[in-house]
Amino acid sequence: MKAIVVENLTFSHRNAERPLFEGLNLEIESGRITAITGRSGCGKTTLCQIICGIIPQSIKGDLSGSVYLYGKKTGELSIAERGETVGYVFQNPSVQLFSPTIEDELVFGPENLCLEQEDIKARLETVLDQLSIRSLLYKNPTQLSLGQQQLVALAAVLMLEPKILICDEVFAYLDQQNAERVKALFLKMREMGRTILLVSHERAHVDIADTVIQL
Amino acid sequence: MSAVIQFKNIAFTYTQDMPLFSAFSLTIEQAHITILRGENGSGKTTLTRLAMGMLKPLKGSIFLLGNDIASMQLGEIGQKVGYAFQSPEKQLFAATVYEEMTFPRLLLGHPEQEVFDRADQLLKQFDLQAYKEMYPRLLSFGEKRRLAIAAMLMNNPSYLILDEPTASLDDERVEVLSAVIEQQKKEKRGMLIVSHNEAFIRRHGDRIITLERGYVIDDSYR
Ligand SMILES: Nc1ncnc2c1ncn2[C@@H]1O[C@H](COP(=O)(O)OP(=O)(O)OP(=O)(O)O)[C@@H](O)[C@H]1O
Ligand SMILES: Nc1ncnc2c1ncn2[C@@H]1O[C@H](COP(=O)(O)OP(=O)(O)OP(=O)(O)O)[C@@H](O)[C@H]1O
Ligand SMILES: [Mg+2]
Ligand SMILES: [Mg+2]
Repeated sequence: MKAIVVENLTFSHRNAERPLFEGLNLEIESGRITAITGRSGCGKTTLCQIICGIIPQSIKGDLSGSVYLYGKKTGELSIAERGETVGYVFQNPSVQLFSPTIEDELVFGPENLCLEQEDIKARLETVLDQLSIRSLLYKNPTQLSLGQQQLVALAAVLMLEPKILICDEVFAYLDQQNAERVKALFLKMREMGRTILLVSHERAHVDIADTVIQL
Repeated sequence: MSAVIQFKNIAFTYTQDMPLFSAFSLTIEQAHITILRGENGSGKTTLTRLAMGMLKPLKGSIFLLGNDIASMQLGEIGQKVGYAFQSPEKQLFAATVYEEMTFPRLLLGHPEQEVFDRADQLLKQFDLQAYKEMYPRLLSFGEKRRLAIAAMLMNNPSYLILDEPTASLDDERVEVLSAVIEQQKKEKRGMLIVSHNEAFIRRHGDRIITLERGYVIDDSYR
């Protein structure tokens, strides 16, 4: 089963001289860890934004072709469906965090999806332990170091338990121990059938991937 | 050997709870490439901000090139020491890439041609010539990082502090940065580099300091 199918995708940013992608085709297997690598500026972040619908929803440009998530066109998913299907951890964690406390940040997404309070509480307990961030719970995002922000940004997306998790350079600011912790978590998620797409420059961190796509 | 940064018995805390640094002393030599490493939240960025005068210690004093920074203007510190933020965005404010590179120097009254020549050379070195007219906020993350470092180098600072300069750079661009670092070193310009990147640390570090919760737990020279 394909988690993501990108079909004949062409895209140019507004004002860009040349298209970034021309007739790009990609297939990403369900239940696997797939890494995307490529030089800085080759379009990795843009591709992530297209897959999860940020482009064209919030960022405009010239887009043609289609993206299917588990067989459904991205444009045809409702917001709730999209939230359950795909979650994106931004390359720059600070732009993703906006709530007054980390706790608010973590429960915000699931509350928006109207999950039961009990369920939200259980998810919260799980991610706090998985990423070892309990001590940060009552802090404001601006009071965190960048590595801590990166962990919280990941945690906020994990709270939604998306079928497809997309992480854009999630290891960039993590120390060794946290990077290992996150990798172990990704391997466990794969066992549970979740699909993970990792964008990373560092080969040392894509060693957990089943497939590496060079963009 | 002459000291570039001296922390003398400083105390610092962000909030009322646990102090991050207490009775902390450390001397960093000008000629070295000093690496600062340690787990997330151990205080690396805080220490670099204290050295730049962006944060003030509660107790103790910090000396930069022999001067107490309490008596220095931020601009004065910035002229002597180049600082590259862990988040490059924090440093980009101009309307175009070219302006980002040239504006501060022109403002200080440096001759135009000299400023333009240096900007062109650095943009070429960092592979950013194609983006001269672009709004810096639209650049990809690695492009922003390269621009922030190139803009910092415009000043020709005698000492550099780089907070995780390799984060999100591809191998090719880490290589460009390494060449710049080696060149600076040849010119006897030292630097303090915060990094988690093992290969990079091994390649460049003359002295490697490991921080844990505000304490130096390891300090080794090569
Ligand atoms: N609005 C825009 N107009 C023109 N060009 C743009 C715009 N936004 C992004 N770009 C360019 O598109 C290219 C791809 O950007 P993207 O952020 O997808 O790259 P990336 O592969 O994620 O790079 P990095 O590894 O540095 O994060 C970059 O060269 C960038 O400068
Ligand atoms: N503005 C702030 N207000 C309150 N606490 C802060 C603030 N900035 C940082 N801290 C806290 O101070 C500690 C040190 O933060 P610092 O940013 O110096 O860490 P770091 O070693 O640079 O970490 P990283 O590797 O994640 O960048 C962390 O526990 C962090 O949560
Ligand atoms: Mg990117
Ligand atoms: Mg830091």
